[in-house]
Amino acid sequence: MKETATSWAWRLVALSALVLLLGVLTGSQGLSTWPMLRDDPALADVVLNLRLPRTLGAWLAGALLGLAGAIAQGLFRNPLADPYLLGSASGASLGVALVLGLMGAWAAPLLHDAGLSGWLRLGLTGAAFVGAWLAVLLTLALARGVQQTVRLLLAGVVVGVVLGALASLVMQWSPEAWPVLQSFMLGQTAMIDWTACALMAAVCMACTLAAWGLSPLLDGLALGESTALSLGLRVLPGRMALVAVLALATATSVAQTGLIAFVGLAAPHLVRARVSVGHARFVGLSMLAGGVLLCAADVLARGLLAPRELPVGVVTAIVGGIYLLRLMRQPLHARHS
Amino acid sequence: MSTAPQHALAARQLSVTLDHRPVLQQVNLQIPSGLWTCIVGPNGAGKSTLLRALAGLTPCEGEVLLQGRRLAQWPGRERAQALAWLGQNESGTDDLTVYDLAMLGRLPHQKWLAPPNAQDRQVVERVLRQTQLWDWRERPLGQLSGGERQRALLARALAVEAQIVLMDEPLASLDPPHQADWLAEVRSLVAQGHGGQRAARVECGLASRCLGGLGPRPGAAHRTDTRPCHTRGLASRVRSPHSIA
Repeated sequence: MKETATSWAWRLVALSALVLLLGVLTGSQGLSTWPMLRDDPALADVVLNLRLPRTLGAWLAGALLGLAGAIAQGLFRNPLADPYLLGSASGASLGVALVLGLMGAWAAPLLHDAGLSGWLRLGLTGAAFVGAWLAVLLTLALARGVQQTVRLLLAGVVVGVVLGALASLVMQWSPEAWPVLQSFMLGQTAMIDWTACALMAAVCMACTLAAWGLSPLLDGLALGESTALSLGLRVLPGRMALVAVLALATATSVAQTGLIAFVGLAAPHLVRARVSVGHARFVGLSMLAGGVLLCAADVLARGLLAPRELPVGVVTAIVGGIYLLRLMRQPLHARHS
Repeated sequence: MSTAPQHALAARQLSVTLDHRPVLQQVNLQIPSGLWTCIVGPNGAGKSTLLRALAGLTPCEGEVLLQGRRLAQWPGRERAQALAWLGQNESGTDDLTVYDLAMLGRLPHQKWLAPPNAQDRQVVERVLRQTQLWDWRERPLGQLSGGERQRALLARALAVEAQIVLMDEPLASLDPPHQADWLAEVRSLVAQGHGGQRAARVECGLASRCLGGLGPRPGAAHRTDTRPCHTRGLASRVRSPHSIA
């Protein structure tokens, strides 16, 4: 018997609080303690303006990926669908690469000065959104709809590889933007400031509301397109709206943190293995799980080899890969016990 | 039937083309209400396509009349309340519990995002008891056997409380003993009707072995259609084995 959604929601909230606290206290010199923070104003400043937004941002980016993954899996009726497999993340990164490439050529100092300005962030997020949205539409067009799972995944892989290659090409052309672009490709939380946090929080709220509003459609789609239509659901406009939410969530996350793999795939899987709920709660729980996962990965990335830092994308890729291998080895029936 | 049946569903000059290939050509048929009607024909004859066209799930030429009114003129919600659909491969729902699945059938009756009300819960309990799944209501579908799963999907279709239920090959995934159980269940449900209303059940692709196994009296199944349905040159017959004992 699976446990209730509410008890898991509370557990995930508690875990979120724990990883957020750990994230704030973990620094390049090991754990900071309360007396250290009280006595050292410089350290307090670091915590308030660097570690806090970075940790909170990691949680928010993870939550966005968890939401995108939950929507993708419901929308395409495919437990392997995630923002990355459908090409949307590659599309988003191509959008970011194009903007940064142009910026790099024309206004290189902007990138090397004091981080990224708020307007540039907004522009990057917008470009990432357009890229992600177009990439998902391209995947859908190549797969001729969502009916054939294999076609869909293959089309997603093709779109992902081609757009990823184009992004690399853009990188080749504008060496000025190389460092920023490289950290985007690896997945980094270091560039998250308060502006990025505010942007992600706003998008997170909007996407949550939209996903909640569209959750009956996701529930109906679980039974197939015909049944959803027969239940009086507006499948086509609803699907387009869901693709837009998926693209917006993925793009906002990618524009702030770069390519972070597996969180969008693993978070919904972890939730599904523990509770059976409708999509309204499923999306919410996946968000919480995604936030915890990425925030924990960020703590690991900063703490494992301190004072050196690993790109968080590398950590999630390794941990996620192992998780996926375990999932593959599990017999089908055991996943639901 | 002693009285002339009112037609629950009717098709006039119905033609469907899939991938530039004509599948149905100018089919005329009438499905009476209060009866269990089966569409029988060889594989590839277009039974499923006919059923999908009758449910408004496939673009078609000609007209489909639902309770005398053109299907396209029905507002989405009202149509969903009047006509329930049980598809051939309703899958990918392993994580849903039996109760939540049946509750999805109440979507056409619920306001958008409104939680289920007392009536919804009452109907879901009734259909789950009818299909003998009430004790399994907390189970995810992934833990059910093929037959139980099919019963749960039937419960979902029944929870719509529609006058007309269209079922596409509901027995395809079941072994013969389960097919017999399932037929008995559907038959008793047709006999009970819904809230005293005369309901029509249309079913497609019922295996002839199965019909025979349950023993329709010779001549009991009769054609209601005046013309054969031309489906790719093969004439499939519309029959109503409502008098299966």
